[in-house]
Amino acid sequence: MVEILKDMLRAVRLRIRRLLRAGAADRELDEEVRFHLEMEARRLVREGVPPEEAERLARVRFGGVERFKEQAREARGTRVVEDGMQDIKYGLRMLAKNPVFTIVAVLTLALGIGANTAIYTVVEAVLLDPLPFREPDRLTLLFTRNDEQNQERYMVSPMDFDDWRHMNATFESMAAYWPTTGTLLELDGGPTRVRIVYTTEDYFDVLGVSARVGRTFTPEEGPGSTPVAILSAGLWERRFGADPSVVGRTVTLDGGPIEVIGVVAQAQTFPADADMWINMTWPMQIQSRYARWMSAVGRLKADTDIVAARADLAALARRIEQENPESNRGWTVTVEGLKDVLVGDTRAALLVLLTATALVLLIACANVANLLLSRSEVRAREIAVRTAFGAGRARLVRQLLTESLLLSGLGAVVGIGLAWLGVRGLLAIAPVTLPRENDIGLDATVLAVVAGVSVLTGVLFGLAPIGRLVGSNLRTSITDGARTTGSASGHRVQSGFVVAQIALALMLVVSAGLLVRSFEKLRAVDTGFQAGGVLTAELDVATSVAETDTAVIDLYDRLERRLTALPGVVAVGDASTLPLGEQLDYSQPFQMADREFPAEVEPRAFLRPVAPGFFAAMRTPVVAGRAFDDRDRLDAPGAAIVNEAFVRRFLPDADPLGERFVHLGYRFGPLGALNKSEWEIVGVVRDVKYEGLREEVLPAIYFSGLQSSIKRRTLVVRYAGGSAATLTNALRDQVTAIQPTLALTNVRTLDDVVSAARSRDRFSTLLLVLFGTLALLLASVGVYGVLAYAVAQRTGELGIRMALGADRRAVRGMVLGDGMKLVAVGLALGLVAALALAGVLSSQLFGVSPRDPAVIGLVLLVLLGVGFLASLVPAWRATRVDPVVAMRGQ
Amino acid sequence: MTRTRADLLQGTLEMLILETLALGEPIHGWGVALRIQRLSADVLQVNQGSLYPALHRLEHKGWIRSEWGTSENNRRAKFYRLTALGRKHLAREREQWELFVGAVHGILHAT
Repeated sequence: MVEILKDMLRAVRLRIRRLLRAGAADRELDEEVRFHLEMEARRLVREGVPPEEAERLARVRFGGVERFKEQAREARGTRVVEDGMQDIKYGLRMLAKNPVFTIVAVLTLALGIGANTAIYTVVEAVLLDPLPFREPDRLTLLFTRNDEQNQERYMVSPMDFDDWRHMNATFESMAAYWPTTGTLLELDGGPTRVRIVYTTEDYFDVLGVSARVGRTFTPEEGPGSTPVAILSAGLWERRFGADPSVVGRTVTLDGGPIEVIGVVAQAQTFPADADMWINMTWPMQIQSRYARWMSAVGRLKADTDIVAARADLAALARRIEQENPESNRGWTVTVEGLKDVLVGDTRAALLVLLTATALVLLIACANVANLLLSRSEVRAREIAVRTAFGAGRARLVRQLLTESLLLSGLGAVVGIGLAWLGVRGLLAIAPVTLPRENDIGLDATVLAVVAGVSVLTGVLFGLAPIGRLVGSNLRTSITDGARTTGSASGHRVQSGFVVAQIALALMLVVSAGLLVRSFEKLRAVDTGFQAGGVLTAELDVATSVAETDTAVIDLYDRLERRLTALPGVVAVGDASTLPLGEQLDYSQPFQMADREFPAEVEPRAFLRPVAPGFFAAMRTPVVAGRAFDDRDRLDAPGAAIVNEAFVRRFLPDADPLGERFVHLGYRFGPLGALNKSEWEIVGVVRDVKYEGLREEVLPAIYFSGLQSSIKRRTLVVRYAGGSAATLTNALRDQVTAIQPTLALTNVRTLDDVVSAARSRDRFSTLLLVLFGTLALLLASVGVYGVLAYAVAQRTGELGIRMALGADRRAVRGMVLGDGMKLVAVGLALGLVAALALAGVLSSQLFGVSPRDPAVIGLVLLVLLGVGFLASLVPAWRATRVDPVVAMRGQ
Repeated sequence: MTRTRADLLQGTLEMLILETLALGEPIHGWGVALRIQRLSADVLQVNQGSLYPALHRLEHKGWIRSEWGTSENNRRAKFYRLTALGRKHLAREREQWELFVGAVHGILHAT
């Protein structure tokens, strides 16, 4: 029994040894067979056969030596692995023999996989990743909406919100919040700016966010209770060293004490970059319905959807409107999925990119397929020969499969590298406003999908020679390859691919061209101010620093006088809202003393308090009247300046100077107020782009900053000479000198503000230009590949033509003509598709029609040129055919 | 279970090899071929080439083992011998074979 076990073990060991050392096993087999033949020959000699005949006879008796060696090898059962190794070696040799083919194929695959994975990854991370909230799909953002006033997503007043919250039928819960900033005194006494969000007490329950340390708000911590604070994980780690004992401690915020009750679990906050949440402790119903300053988030009931919720809240808003016709006329609601809003405008841009990516993937796959088909013509002959020598069909399929897998594998590996670089690159050049960019890593699923598609293409078309072999008989394959012009059907398929590639490339390049033109237009837009040489910084004066309106106005006035005195400073101003900035712009109805407006004109404008130096600092021209100056103080009559859009809309035929606003007092939530209610228009200024470069300028009224007590303002300092950095330091010193507990935030140049407003356009333009270039490159490789191959196939025919006296020019013309025919058909198809799909891009364009003839014409020319160049080399090669050599090939 | 002719022959060759080796001392491949031919009084012509795949198959099954040695004319040669496992298997094969032969014999002499 033991003996038998040993025998079995020995057999296993033997198999493994022979598998690992196949070469040694082969040599042993050789030696054994040699010995056998020698012995047999000797025996035959002894029987009287002549020695040279004996050797031959021994071999005959043995049968086919190689065949039996092969069988013996097979008997070893290690065949599959050995063949695999052999296939790989052979495949690598074949790839190395055609370096151009290999490099082009691998690069095509790599670009297809790399570019697509990188873009998909970014897109998926932005569009498809779940938010870190409980059942995020049920979360919605609630806005007010007023079509007459052109407000689609406006804020809600506390009273309206309170009605929504108690009277709706479709929401499980609803919370309101108000983001602002505050100054937190650190333990060492230095001030730091923090982003605070005031929330209703059920805020965290609505979102489904829990506390990592301590707790979130309880239902008792609503109106009438004491404010308490919850820290973000970021602030807790940055400022408190992630010390759990901070919970229960009291910190100083805006000069007053507040207790910290918890730290939020999730790193990602809502709204983004919040540092601290504080419960709203004021009663909702004592506020005015006019004062729309809160944001709201709601969680839908499980058995309902957003459509039902819209109908529900709209009906509710109508009821509120009927009961309060003064304050709520025309006000309804907008309900949007939280995710839709967070992803926001990026969605359209990303969808365009996604389409571009898919097109590039298609082009890349077509290219790979084409390259492999071209080669299959050549391979078909080699394979027919090998079949004739006895290679099994299954064995050949395995061989070709190995080659294709090697090629695709190489492409995939390089592609993954490119994808990784691509994601880094995209994030590096991505606009800072791209939501949730910190969470983006290379996505495995996406990579698998894209690589899978590319590799599958490679493998499928790598097997093309077998298809050919099955379709034809051996002998014609062997002779065919040597003679005629290759299979016509194969050529047709390839031509089809080239046409498709050209068409797809045209679509991509047209899109890129349109975006470039649109971006140029965007750069040329007159913003109404000069961005160069201006430093901006936000400042928020807390109640503890300046309690009264006068104190606030006085503080800003004193600070700006000091700043104006700094060396190199040309002009200093401030504004509640910076053009193209992120601050809120307040829009309100107004009344004028001597004017009635027809019913269809809703008298409404943006309200913008600015310091006297603002227009000088921005270099916004005053086109009529005067700018604000030191006269326009609290003890003087109210002074207002309107923009040109205001004059165009409301006072087209009148002299605006001297016109008066009445009953125009306004409270900017807790931020401050306009301190007059009657204002006289003293000037008109050039239109300034506030909402965005693409947006039309809307009517606006500017008020003197010396007559409005806005606590939070952005300082605007124009300087000549000196650097922004030294000025920043000087600015900080002056602020500290006036009030040590004040801190500047968001210090940046006006150039940065403007360029941030352009960043998304720049990003998508750049990406599409990259895609367009890539598509152009791939398509020209496709044209070149097919023509070069066709020329190689027709060497014989061309030789005959030239031997019969066709001149070189005619031959060149013929090949060029073939190429350009493909290009022309592709362009025609692409043009039709581009015109048909123009609508997809129109949301991304500014000042350019998606069917802009200049762009399309130019792109057609470029593609024709590229197609011509790609055809030129094969055409030139065709004229180099030596008739004698070509005919001998027959 | 149907057996093709090739299977039968292959199986038979393997049995003959085992039988040859069962005589005791190790022999090389050529010796096996020669002996099968001699023992069967030249009735069975072993296709010499097919001997080696059979030998390797048997070795993989663990029924025979091989080692390099020196032949009668002082050449390096591979010698095969039966293992315990092979001996056991041979006994079973032999039994089946005799059963088979007996059955065929019965049929042939039934008329």
